[in-house]
Amino acid sequence: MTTIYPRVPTVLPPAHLPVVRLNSVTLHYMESCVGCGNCAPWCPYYYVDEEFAPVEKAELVRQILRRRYTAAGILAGRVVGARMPRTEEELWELLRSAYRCADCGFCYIACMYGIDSGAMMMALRQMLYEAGVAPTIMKVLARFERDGLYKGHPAVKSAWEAFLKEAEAPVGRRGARVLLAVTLMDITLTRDAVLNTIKVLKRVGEDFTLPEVPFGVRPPFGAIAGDVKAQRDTIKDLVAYAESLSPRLAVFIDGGYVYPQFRFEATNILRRPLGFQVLHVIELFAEYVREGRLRLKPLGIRVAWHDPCHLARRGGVIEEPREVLRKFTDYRDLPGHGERSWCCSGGAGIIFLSEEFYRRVSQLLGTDITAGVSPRESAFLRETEEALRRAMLKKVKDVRKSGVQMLVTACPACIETLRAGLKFHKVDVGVEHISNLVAKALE
Amino acid sequence: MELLELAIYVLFPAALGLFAVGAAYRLLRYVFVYRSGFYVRRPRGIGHVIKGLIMTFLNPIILAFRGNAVEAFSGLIVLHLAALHPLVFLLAQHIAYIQQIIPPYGILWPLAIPISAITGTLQVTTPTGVVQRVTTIWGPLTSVLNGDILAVIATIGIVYKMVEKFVEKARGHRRVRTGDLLVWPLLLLIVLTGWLAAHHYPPGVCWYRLLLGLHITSAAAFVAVMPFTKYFHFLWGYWYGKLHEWYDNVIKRGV
Repeated sequence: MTTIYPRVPTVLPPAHLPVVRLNSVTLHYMESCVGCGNCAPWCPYYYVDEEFAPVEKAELVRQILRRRYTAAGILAGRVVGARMPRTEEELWELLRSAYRCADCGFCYIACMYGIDSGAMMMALRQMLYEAGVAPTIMKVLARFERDGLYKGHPAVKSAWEAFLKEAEAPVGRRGARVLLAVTLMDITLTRDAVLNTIKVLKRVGEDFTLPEVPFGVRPPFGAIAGDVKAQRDTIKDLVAYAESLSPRLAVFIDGGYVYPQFRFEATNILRRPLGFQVLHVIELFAEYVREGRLRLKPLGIRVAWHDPCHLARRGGVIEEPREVLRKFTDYRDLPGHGERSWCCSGGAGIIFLSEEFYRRVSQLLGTDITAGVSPRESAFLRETEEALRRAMLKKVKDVRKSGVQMLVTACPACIETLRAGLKFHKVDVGVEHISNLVAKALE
Repeated sequence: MELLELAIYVLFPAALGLFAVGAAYRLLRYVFVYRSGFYVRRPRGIGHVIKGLIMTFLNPIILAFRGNAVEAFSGLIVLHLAALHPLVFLLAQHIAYIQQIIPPYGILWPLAIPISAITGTLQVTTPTGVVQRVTTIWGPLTSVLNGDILAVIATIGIVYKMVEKFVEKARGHRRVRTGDLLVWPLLLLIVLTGWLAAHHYPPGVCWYRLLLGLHITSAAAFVAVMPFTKYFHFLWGYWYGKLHEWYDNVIKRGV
């Protein structure tokens, strides 16, 4: 059996906590917070505990940065709010806060000073990952993706081949206009959405191709795990592969962090423009609708669009899904929508932090990843699951108020989180990927 | 040299010097750690970009009222906009003093605010006995827009924030640092000594000179440390932060 555990399971002495490099933006985040707490009411985890308000969580990072980068912090330490974690216990406490943030960006727009506390929490994940403190599943999947192990893994290979057989679509075709960048997570969590997307592309006569192997696990997984090297290597590898096929468009079905990572961050990581344009599938559908290529019959169903934070607030795709849904559904917005949409609370990998997900990933990889889980991590997972259930209450209330029959969205993490959460809180509203609904409405 | 003379001729100018050095240091750090990004922006029309700029500044205010209306009203509107800003920058005595150091500041005389509601014209007494009369544009508004009223509002606001910070600290909030516990009392000292000096209370020249000396000294202390504290947001953090957010969200991502 292939060993896919990363090589960094040991915790480094905290004195050597690798602190992120300072740039003008992190400098601003470090020194400009006045502690007004305007961000707090907009963070779903604030309602779990006040200590998880963005201002409080980001202060943990500010303490580390002050200790490392300011003269006052080095000389006066805690008196000026500068502090470096000293024990492994403290690192785990920090990890708890790092995973009480879905990096949704609501606190960013609510902040009087434009401080992105989500970015600070991602910086915290990076420091902790470097120190060897990260949930096992994050280490496993980041490494699995970074080293390209998913390309040759027997279980993944057989799942991918089964998917290709069912999809009956061109594979690895050079020069196709669209590369449908289907990931391993896509075919695992939202397989129906992938198949329905292909159905739509075929119906409109799109010139498209699928990749020969999955387009990463959920790339770049390192971005949410805190593994900067995995993030960079994965993007480099996948962009090179996509460019080898020379498509005009690389289209993602996943509307989570995958989209902004390729749409905005990839060029910055590679320091060059990409050889293709990055779109989310909903942008492509909207383009078809505008061109009259996609004709949809009314479904007579009352739906609302749940804006995935990374697609809308952090990705700028807000109007397109509404433009498409208004064509064939009785559409209405949730009370909190668009730029001010409530986060589902399961983003940035939080939904993966449950024993059930550990089992599902173990099953997928044919490797028992729970074997590497310490009692402390088990407790952390249980706490995280409980926090997620409570954090999503704001979203659940919004859905309840809206009176819709179905919630439509485009992020596998949102779909998993909302389905589980609405069921747990006894709200009888279905959750579907938009590709499923569009395919159903094809004339 | 007595405190008042020391404050006027030594401490406050020295504080301004320290302020300039501190501000330069803080701004230069941004230059030294700057790293350019390589991004392909989402194309958006000029209308979207301008609307985005306005909303970037408005969003936190709207959300502040929705999230915690009492805090937003008392902290943002009353303390910041109604009390501190006009009190610090437009009180006639302050304009007179700052004009001595920075002459172009005198351009603000038409906006000057009187010390009390008793008269609509301004009577400014400087430590050297110079009397200056000015006609303000505020007219009957000076019945509420005057030093006395603003000082009362500012005092209530500062005491509220001071108590809030102590309570938050006691509740273990990380965001309250030692500096917060020192600077709010300092602000209170500035307002109270200024108000007492302006009203010559307690009576007597010695008290007046002592209180005014204390007022200017404490203000000098605040000005000197300002670039090294979160209060620099007024000149830099607020503007840089919101403009960067505008670039990041609206220009780059097209939100």
